[in-house]
Amino acid sequence: MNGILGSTTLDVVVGLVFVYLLLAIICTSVNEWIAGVMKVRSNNMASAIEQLLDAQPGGKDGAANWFLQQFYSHPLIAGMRRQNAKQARPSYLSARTFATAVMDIATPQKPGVITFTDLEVGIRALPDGDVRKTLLALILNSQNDLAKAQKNIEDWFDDTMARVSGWYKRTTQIWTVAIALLLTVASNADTMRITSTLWKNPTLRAQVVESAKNRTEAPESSVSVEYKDKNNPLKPTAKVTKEELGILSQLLGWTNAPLKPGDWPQRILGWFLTIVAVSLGAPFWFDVLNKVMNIRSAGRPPDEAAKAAPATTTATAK
Amino acid sequence: MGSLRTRVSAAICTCALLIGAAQAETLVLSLKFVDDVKNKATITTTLEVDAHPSTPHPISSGGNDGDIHMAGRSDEVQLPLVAEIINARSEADSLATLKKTHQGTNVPVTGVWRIWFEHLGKEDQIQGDPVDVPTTSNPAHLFEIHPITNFNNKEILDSFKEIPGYTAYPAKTAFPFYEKVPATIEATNSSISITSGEGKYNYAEFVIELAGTVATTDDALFVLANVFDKDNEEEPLTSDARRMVFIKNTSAATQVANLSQGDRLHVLGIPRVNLAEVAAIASQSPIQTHLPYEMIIVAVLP
Repeated sequence: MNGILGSTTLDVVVGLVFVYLLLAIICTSVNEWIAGVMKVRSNNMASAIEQLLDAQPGGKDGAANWFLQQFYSHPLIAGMRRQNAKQARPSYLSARTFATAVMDIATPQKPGVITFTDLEVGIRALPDGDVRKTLLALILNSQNDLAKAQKNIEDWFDDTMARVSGWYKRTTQIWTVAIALLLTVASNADTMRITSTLWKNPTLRAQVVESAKNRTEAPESSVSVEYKDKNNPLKPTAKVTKEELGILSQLLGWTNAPLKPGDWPQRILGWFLTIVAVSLGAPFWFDVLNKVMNIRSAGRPPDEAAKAAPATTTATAK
Repeated sequence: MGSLRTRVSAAICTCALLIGAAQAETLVLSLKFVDDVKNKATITTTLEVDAHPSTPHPISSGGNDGDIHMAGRSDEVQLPLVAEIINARSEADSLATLKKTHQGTNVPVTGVWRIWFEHLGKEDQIQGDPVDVPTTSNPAHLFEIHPITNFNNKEILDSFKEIPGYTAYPAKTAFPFYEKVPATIEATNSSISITSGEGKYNYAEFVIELAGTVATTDDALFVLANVFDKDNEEEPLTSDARRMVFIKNTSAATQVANLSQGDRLHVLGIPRVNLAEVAAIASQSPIQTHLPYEMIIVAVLP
């Protein structure tokens, strides 16, 4: 084909974007696995709850973090722990559940339905502490309206969670870059070399473009679901088709050929570009891939484009 | 000439994209919700009933299925939703209770959660966003509690039976469609979004052949099965075994519990998105794929 649209250049771009997408997906999966193993979400949540509810004594023995202990043992919160994990803390908590538990702990004198006065009396009865001060400030701004008081407590929680979300995102981003670095070097995912290989090898280029097309079009999805044990319908697993893994193996990897000293700057630049690209995340590259594939389709002769049109519709339907 | 061809191609693609965009919608679910319900059949909630018709649908074919709809809101779901009683005419007590409700009446409801892109709206539906008070009994919704198993603390599992006088969609029509519904699945740290086009073929009649043993959970029996049309039990209609969901203590569940791999059953079922498969695929997201689905078995047919 002539021109930029549908040219070799565009196919190389498709191939490169596709490789970035696959590497970003692997990166995300590893990141999620690490987050799960290290309980990052629940630990972040625990830190936030501690920040909110610590330093409030209470109870008969005047324990320094009495309110926090009461919170975790409240049935609404205790019920969220995973089975057989007594020490586990919840990874997710809604503002409403938080506020309901806090208000319930603050009003031990009035089990069941409470009024604004019950809440105020209960909070004032707490010993001096950070939670007492905060709760009083929140409810006294609610014009004696229990619903508004609850809303203020929910907003207090939401504001803190917004900060937690920020910590989580920053932690995830650091891990993403670290994993991208390891993945890139381990697989020798050198952008310069990948580009050169795609440019020089039309067969491989065509294969990569076809796989990229499959990933963006539903009729030939590149991810399938399987039940490894037909007797266990509760555990489906996803698997990337071998075709995609095969493509990666043809474009990535180390060879036995020794590098000349002068090749290292280019290799390091190639790695750097890959690391930056992979760190942008799978959703970014998926969007880019869809756009590039659409440009590629638009550049085809009408007969070819007409054949591809229905598939393109499903690929970008939103 | 080349420029004209390019413009024509671009115009065709743009039109195709616009048509696609008009016929699809995105549903964003919280990851916790997906984890909670993906291997469950039912959900229990207090439904704030906002609108309902006075009588059930007539019975013939297609949408005339004898169900009665009620639109409402639920703190547990936090999405526009509709709940439905099947074989509604045989549930006199529940109909009487429903008739007494008015906008905002709270009714405890348990039923099969069901996501299906059948009643698309103009806007994406995001779990947790404020839900507008519905003004009709069938507003734009992607989430249903359908069929209801317990309404106002009265069990109505006896409504899980053949719908007399109703002609369901034949398997050879419904399953080729279910198998090829395109969808985009994308996950974030806290949510999963599913974008798909309009779903159809609510009730299908088909034959299943068990591909494994039946797994029992708190509220359901799950089994993988191959699907056939009742008029052609030689060629399966699905590319692989699909998950079948039987609701515990229904007549159909009692019958399947006694079956083994290779046994067959002629059934009536409703499709829903298979969130266990969506969650599995989400690990590889973003991806464009076929919408993962499973079948809720309503009745065993003769």
